[in-house]
Amino acid sequence: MNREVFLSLLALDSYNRNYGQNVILYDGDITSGQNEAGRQLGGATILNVDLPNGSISAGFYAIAYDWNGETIISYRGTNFEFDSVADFLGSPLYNDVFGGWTLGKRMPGASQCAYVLQ
Amino acid sequence: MMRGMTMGVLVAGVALLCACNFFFDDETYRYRLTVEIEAPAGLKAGSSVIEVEVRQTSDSKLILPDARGLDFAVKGEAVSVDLGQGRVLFALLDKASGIAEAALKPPRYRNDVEYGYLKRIDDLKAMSNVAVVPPEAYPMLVTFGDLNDPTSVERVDPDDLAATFGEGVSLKRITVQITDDPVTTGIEKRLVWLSKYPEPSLDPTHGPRDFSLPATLHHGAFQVGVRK
Repeated sequence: MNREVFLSLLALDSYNRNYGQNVILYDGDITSGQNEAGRQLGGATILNVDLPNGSISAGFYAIAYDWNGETIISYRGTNFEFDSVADFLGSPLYNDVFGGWTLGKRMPGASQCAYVLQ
Repeated sequence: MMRGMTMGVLVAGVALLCACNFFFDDETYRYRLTVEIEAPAGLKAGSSVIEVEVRQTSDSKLILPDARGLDFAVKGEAVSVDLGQGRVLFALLDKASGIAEAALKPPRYRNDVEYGYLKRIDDLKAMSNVAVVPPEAYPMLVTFGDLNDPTSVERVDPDDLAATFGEGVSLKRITVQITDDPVTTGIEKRLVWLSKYPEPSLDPTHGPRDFSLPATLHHGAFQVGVRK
């Protein structure tokens, strides 16, 4: 498969792993997340790398693959999921705006970027 | 400059919030998960009240078909069954978002995944019977060689508890019942190493190609959404 196409698939795949999974790929999988380590996607193997503490509440998710000896890291972008004021304050959008987008203006508190570095 | 940008972001956020009330609906329910074990000393049981919040995109025409979907959030902790002599069986949260449906089997609606799923949850909340969980929906069962050592975790075969706990020990049944009781808490008193974060694995020193149970099982399988 074309390298760019496959890397695009891995980028897409990060949205359907662990917490927030919406397309059930395996019997027994659930939408609130399960262990993915060791599973195969084409010729890529999902590596066993723990998310840093606080990642889920901060709306951060990343996954690493081994593909022909090369380590590929895929990050999720912004999701829009909330339906009330209380939900908004803990929603992926709020977390992304205040925990990620703020880095672009060099504002403090871009917690998602700290998780990327970890 | 910074204050202006912050205000702009807030205004945009409030506008989006108003808009998104039309895009999402949600339902929350709680159920008691009970595990019953036949043992030489008699019946042993443990239970835990678990909360599930289900969010679904509304049927607004403004939502593109590809953007429709469901989202689940679980709050609670694993069931612990004390079998004596320091041995404890844990029924994990790995299937917590779907186990009540699997056991109680509320009626299905046409197109329920896309539009009517929350109607199923409404029906589920109205069911008061105790339902037996079918084997295919069993949560993962584990125990520890030493409760103070998370890396001593071992998987328990639900069809052969005797292999782990000795002759005469067997799984009688796992049941679910909808309840208004508060979410169960306190498992961290038994598992003193348990973090308030769901992310760490039971063996945080593992390598990226270690797919053993302690390396792949995370604290969130024992407790999630309870401690802030």
